Amino acid sequence: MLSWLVGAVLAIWFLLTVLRNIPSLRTAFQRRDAAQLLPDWALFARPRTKDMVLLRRDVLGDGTLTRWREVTVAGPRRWYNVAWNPGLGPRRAMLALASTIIATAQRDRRAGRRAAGQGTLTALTAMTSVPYLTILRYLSERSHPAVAATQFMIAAIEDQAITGRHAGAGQGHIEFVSELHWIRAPGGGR
Amino acid sequence: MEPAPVPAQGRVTVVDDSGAAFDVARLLLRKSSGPAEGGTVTWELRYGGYPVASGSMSGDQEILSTEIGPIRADMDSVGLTLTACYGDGRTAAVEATCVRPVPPATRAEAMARANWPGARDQPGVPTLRRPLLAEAREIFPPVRAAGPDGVPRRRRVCIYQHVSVLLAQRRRRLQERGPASSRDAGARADGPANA
Repeated sequence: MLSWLVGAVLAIWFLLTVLRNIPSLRTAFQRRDAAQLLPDWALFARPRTKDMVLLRRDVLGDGTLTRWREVTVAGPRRWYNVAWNPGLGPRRAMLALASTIIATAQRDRRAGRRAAGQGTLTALTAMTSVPYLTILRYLSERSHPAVAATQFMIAAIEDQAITGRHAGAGQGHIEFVSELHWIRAPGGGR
Repeated sequence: MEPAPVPAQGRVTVVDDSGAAFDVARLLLRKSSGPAEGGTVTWELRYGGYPVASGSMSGDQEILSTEIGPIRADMDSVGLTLTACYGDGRTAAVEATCVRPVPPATRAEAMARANWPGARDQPGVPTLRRPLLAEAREIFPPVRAAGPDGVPRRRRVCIYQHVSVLLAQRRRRLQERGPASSRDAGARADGPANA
């Protein structure tokens, strides 16, 4: 009898997990799953074929807009990273944030939202989302004192992990561009 | 009392050397007027208007070469300017060249600079986002396309609030919606805010 009960519970759990991972039902299940019992099953997700790169450009105190520059979230890969890789956490965090921002941007593009801004069409919509604010705060705290405002871009570059950051081969495209933001708090701090 | 004269800022010719054998930037200053014009010249190197180095050249000195430690690889050469003046406040004509070691542009940088080189002109402020707007101001894009009068074209852009203000705005909005929605919003990206 007990084994039947356990089997039934596991079967229901499995069924709910399958339903929770159907994209159109995901939000509804997330809202009701207060105990976070239903996993986000990503084993069969399409593998990532492009590397996400974070870039920034700044408006300096005298009004000069700089060129786009790649932000190094973690140091270059070393041979000992197989066993000890302290840069993996920040790198994975950036990838997760970038993926969420891009997914939001794609959803908003499909919804046909349009807003005239400095960044991509969805930059204004995403401005108070957690991933956007996290990246903005990270960049604000790493800014030179001459920087007045900053803007970031998330670009997808093909095969960068294999061929390197400077290789000429492979294409890339812009996934998301933020608005320009002050990097100093109203009180004068960062 | 009259305000002190502000010396004119001159652009610095920057040579980005990706194969440099040295690891500290070097600044080369050369008096355009030659050694004939006497007087000590005081110079100041700025990045985006923020002073990063300063020094002086004596009256008989025509060329000065010095190492500039505060110039970092992540500084953009378009933001470097130099002011030079004599002791009495007159502007001194000085040619400035900075040679600095920088890594070559990455693939992502080359793509971004090619596809999104300048800034969009924004004559008006987006109505829905006015509460998040900090300022609309003119900037100098890195691609200095000249206007019809030959003067470099500026762009008017909207600059939005600092991250702390946006965060406060987000918290306020979530409190207005109630605890249930704040839990949801923590897990997913937002829809339109303050619309």
